[in-house]
Amino acid sequence: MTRTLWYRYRRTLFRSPVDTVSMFVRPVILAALMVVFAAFTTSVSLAFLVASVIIVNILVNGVIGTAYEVRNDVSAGQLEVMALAPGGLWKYLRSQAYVQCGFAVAQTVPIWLIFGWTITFDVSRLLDVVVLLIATWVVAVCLAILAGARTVVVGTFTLASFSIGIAVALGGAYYPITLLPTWVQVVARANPVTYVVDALRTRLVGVEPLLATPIDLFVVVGCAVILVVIVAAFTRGFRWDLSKVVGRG
Amino acid sequence: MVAQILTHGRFAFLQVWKDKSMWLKVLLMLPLAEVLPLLLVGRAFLSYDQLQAFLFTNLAWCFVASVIMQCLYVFQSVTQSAKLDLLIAADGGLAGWVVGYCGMTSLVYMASAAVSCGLLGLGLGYPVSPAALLVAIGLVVPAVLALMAVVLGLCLRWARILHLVNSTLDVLQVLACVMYPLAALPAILRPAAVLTPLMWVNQYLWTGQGWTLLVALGLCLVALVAAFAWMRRCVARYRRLGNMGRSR
Repeated sequence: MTRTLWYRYRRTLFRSPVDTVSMFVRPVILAALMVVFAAFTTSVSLAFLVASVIIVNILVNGVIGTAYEVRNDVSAGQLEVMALAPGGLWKYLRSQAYVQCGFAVAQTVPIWLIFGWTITFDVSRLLDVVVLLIATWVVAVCLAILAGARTVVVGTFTLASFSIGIAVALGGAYYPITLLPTWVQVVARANPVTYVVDALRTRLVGVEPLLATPIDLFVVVGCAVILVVIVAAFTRGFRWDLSKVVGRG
Repeated sequence: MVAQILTHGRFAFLQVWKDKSMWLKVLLMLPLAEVLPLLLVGRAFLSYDQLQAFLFTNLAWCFVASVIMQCLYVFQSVTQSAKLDLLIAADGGLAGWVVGYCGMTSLVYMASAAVSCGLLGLGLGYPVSPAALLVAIGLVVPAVLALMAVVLGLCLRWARILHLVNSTLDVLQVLACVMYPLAALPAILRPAAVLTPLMWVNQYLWTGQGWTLLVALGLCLVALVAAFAWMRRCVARYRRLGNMGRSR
């Protein structure tokens, strides 16, 4: 597994300098966009939007990055190689998810360095923040594995990209859902991503949470545990039938 | 030249018309994935007076970004196949193909963006005027054509440019004042923003001042000339060297 992770890490980072630089620059540009918007509207704090960008980046880029890399490997005709390697496709998907979600977390470091001054959170909440960060990362990894599996089957990452985008958009990505039309609030409250984003963001910037503290923390940890169980069940129960995989040569 | 442009445009339309997945992508997936988050941001934090301008500028931006990315995929498939040499040798050359094929793609995206984003805006409580939506998108077409020519030149020059184009679009989104008027942009960024044709179009959408539209059209004209000159230079380089950028 270590060798697999190292191979994937090197391949992603050193394949193209432009790709690597843009991977870390793009989230910073998005944060800058939100900072200017916050300064314009004055009805939302800089800290709120910066924290939102950080959290959304971990979820979205981890999942999309995994699906994108899986698509590249599938279209390069490496499906059989991955399936025959020790651990098979599931081990490949797990290593991809760990690496890409790790990159997604690393992408937030420049945001912290440049815009971190806007966030001053209560140190007494530090333990909650750490637990929620870990839970968010676990949620991202599990979603990334499922997205990668779907990408192997259909040969394109469009559905994975679209799904996580919608889930996050309707999960209060950059805004409290209480400010949105009623129908959006109804959808958002049924969306588990809403509570993942909200719990961590409220700990970072100190706004009113959707669920009372510490219920929201248990909900997020519970979501992470459920996803781990789902992925584990999938890993044990799902049998790949590569003859039916779309996009194979 | 005009005949070639129309031929390429007709071909582009038929390709799009027959591809059902393309319609699903432009009518449903793109608006939901790209525009919905921004419209939700505006709905949450802006006053009602600001919502219409916000809808116009984000609609125009959705159109710009989606057309450029779609054309990039098409450019990459052309530059990686024998079609490139065929298009260069055809009447009208690559410029005719860019205007015809990409122009028609723009029209398709324009119509779909107006419909789907208009419906999204209605659902979120934005003040929506269909005619005004089409006008807002139509204003950015010259800038989009210029961007297409630049992207094609970059394809010929460096081949692998997906992340470069994505990053450039991100920077452009900040400088073009999509989510706020020019006055909100930090002073250090304003000199670069002032040189951006899209910014002036968005400034017109934000403020309604006619002179900003004149500046936008003038800058778009300059951008078109410069972009097509750059594209011609890249084509000449390709014909001289026989390859593009680095080998993959």
